[in-house]
Amino acid sequence: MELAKLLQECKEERLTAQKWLFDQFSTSFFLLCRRYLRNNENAEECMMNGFLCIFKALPNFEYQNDGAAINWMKRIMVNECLRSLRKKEHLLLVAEELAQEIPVADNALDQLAAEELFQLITQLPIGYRTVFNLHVIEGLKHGEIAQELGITEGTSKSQLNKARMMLQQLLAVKNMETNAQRKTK
Amino acid sequence: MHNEKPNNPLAEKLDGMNSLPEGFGFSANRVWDQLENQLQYRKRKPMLWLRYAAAIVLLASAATIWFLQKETATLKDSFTKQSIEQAPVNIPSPITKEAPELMAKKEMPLKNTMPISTSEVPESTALVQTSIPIEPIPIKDSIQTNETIAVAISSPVVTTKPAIKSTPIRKKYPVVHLYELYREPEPIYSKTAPKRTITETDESPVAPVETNRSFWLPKPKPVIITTSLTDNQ
Repeated sequence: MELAKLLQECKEERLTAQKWLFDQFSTSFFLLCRRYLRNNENAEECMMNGFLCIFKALPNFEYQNDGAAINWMKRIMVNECLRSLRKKEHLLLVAEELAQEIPVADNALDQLAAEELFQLITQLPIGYRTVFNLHVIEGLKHGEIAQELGITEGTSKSQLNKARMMLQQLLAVKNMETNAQRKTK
Repeated sequence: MHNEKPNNPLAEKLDGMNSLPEGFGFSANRVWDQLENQLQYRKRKPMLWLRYAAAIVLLASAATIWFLQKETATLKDSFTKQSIEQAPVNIPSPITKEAPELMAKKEMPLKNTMPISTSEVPESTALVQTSIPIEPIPIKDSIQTNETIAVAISSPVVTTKPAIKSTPIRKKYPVVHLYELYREPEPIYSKTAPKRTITETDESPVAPVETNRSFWLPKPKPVIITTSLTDNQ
């Protein structure tokens, strides 16, 4: 079923269309929520609340194209995750002096498979991964992140640098492990 | 956030994940069941809200009515109690009637009469001393107005003649001795009976028969005897 038609039927509050939409996007949205949140339960709850918000906000949504509609739904999910973080995780990012931006080549990350990248991100602390997700994956600027999380831009940048450094360390450890496994084989 | 994202290889890579990695899983059916319940609850919510609102309004109105009724009842009670307590009512002391004393007349003992003992008097005829409380006369409400009211007052009648007291005229009855009232009947047709002649000194109040007779008998018609003088007489 086309996404436009599906969304139109969801606007009319048809349960079958809502179920179709849920089945189509539940996995990707769960993974999105899991990137932000600590455990699966929180991610499930956050995804459910996100779908509720989507169905509630659909009557005011004007469909333009599939990409915009998917991004709109993702934005709702991210906002729900941030709300949950503020509520449950007591997201507290310590303001730090503006650290020099560490030039980290994302090529190393680009070479990773999606699953490996996902697992590396979930190993990051909450603060680091939140800023990393918002800046690198969602494409927000530091100013927007600062406004969203209630922190300064400097804090956002330092958190991002630390997240990148940690990812490099994790990546190095992983490479060492894989090399060791290959040697044993 | 932007609806249209620039090309981001990492985001594209993560978005392209259609399968869950190891250690990351969720029950889609369970989440959908919860979501379905939430959606149906949201549909029912307006009706439930209306019902709750109606119930609250009804309860509130009933409570206010009950409260007002209770308040008025307490006000009435307090008013009556105060009015009863504060109203200066001068209840006169109950009038006691002294029981009449039975006084036996010693000077004039009754002869040929049955002696009556007080124990034989039935209870119903016994004298009972009662006190009748007199209720205070309610004072009528007077209307107080600031408006002037025209009242017609009759002017006093000026009389030249002084008021004469009319004394009741007492009838004077003649004092008659008892023996004068009763007299032995006189034989009407007895030859021996002395002729009674009415004298001027006779002051007997007995009316003549003629007068008494006229009271209850019809008046005798006068008989007119007409005689004609003829040659035979």
